[in-house]
Amino acid sequence: MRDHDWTSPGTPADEKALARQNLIDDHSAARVRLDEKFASFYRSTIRPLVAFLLNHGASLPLATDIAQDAMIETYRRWTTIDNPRAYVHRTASRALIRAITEVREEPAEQVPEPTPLLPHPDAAMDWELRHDLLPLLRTLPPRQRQVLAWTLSGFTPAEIAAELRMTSNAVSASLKKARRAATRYLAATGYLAGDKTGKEER
Amino acid sequence: MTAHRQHNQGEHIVDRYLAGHQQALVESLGSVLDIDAGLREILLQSRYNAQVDSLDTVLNVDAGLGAILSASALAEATSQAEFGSPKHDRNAVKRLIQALNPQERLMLRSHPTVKATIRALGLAVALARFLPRVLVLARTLNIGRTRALELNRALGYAHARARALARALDHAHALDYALALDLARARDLSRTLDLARSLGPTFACIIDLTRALNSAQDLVNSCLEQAQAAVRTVLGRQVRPLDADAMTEFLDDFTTADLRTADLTGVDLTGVRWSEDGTLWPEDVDIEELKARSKEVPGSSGIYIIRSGTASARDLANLG
Repeated sequence: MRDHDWTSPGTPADEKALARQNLIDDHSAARVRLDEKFASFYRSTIRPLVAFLLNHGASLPLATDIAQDAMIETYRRWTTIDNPRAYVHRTASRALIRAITEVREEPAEQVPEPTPLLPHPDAAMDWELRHDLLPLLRTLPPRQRQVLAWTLSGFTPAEIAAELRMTSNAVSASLKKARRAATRYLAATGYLAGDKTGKEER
Repeated sequence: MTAHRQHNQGEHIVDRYLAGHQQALVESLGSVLDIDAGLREILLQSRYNAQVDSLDTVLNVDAGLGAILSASALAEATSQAEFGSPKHDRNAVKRLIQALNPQERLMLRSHPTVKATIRALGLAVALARFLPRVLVLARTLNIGRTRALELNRALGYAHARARALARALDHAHALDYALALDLARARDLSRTLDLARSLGPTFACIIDLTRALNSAQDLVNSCLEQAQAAVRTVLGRQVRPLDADAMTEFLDDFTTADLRTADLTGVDLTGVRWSEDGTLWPEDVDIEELKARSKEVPGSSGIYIIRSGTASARDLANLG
């Protein structure tokens, strides 16, 4: 069936097999390079990405699940996207909005399952309790929370405006309101010495 | 002024606090996330792709696929749309049709052995035509859940067809012992597809699918031989070899047949192709009733195929 195995070197069949092998070798080399670049990106981005989703109000299991899915999507499209960092944040933020909508429609809460990225989801609640600003962020109106989360992740007001399809002024206004809420929260919880600032902002 | 300074100082503290929160959040995530495991999960896709590529060094997929696509084949069991442009030698089939009277062909297609082998052949061809699509789906699969579900559905469909084929061969086997080997092969194919489905989007699944594809092609060839043998036996004479499409046309095409004197009593007409203008039916057949029990393929062509379960000739007779 595979006659080309026994043909003498230099026959068309032989050359075809060689060309195919070369093509496979090229693909393998390209894949190794892609994997190295992606691994570096993943290691430097996954934690800030999970933090970004937590700042949006997601629980830790949901944040890790969405971040991982967004990373999978980014890996799949790696060769076609210009700015992987912006892409993965955009993908994750949209997935979170979809997930929140679905949770509202399905009130029964699901028990989080261990995943490769989050092997012990049962420890998530204790971990979240150690971060005292997360409760504040979860009480902010959605737009302020979004803008603050993008800001804390290092995106500029212009970039945020483009991602969220808002004007720069609207971004600044939302950010200002979020800051005021944070000030009030910190003052009320005693983190600001002489809490006059917080009271004045009310 | 003092209030303004206090306000600025407050904002500065809040900004610092927020920045500190972000930094602490990112750093402490290291204690709950297994980043290497997360990365490994994604790069599994890469290893999977590399394995699929390496398959090309041992498999000649193009040749395998080409053999199937050029092989004699029936139109898919569920779609008769391809009848409009058959690739086989239509003249040879026409000559064969002209050599037999329509009554003989009706008798031939109703014979239990011919019917059973043709049914098995149709299912084998449908499966052999469907499996390359499943294989392509598996080969281009990424680890996204949507595509994995798509593959699972396709494999479920293929598995259901393989089981139907095994049942059809079981029925044919009861009529003809020569089909024992095919039956065993069909059951093995069904098991292979079930296993491929349980494996999900993996390298092993591709191997199983490739095996199933070869097996399905063997079954097509074998079922075709059995069908031709059955036709020869029932007619009691040699008939030139036909491919699967030609075999179907030979047995089902009555678009120019004169059936006015044919005795249709008890004849199963399921699958018969007939034409509004070309087919001449006995006087007692209600043409409108026949149309209602047929599917026009393609639409507005005036060519109809009688649907299954509606085919008793007596039912079609105008008994009023």
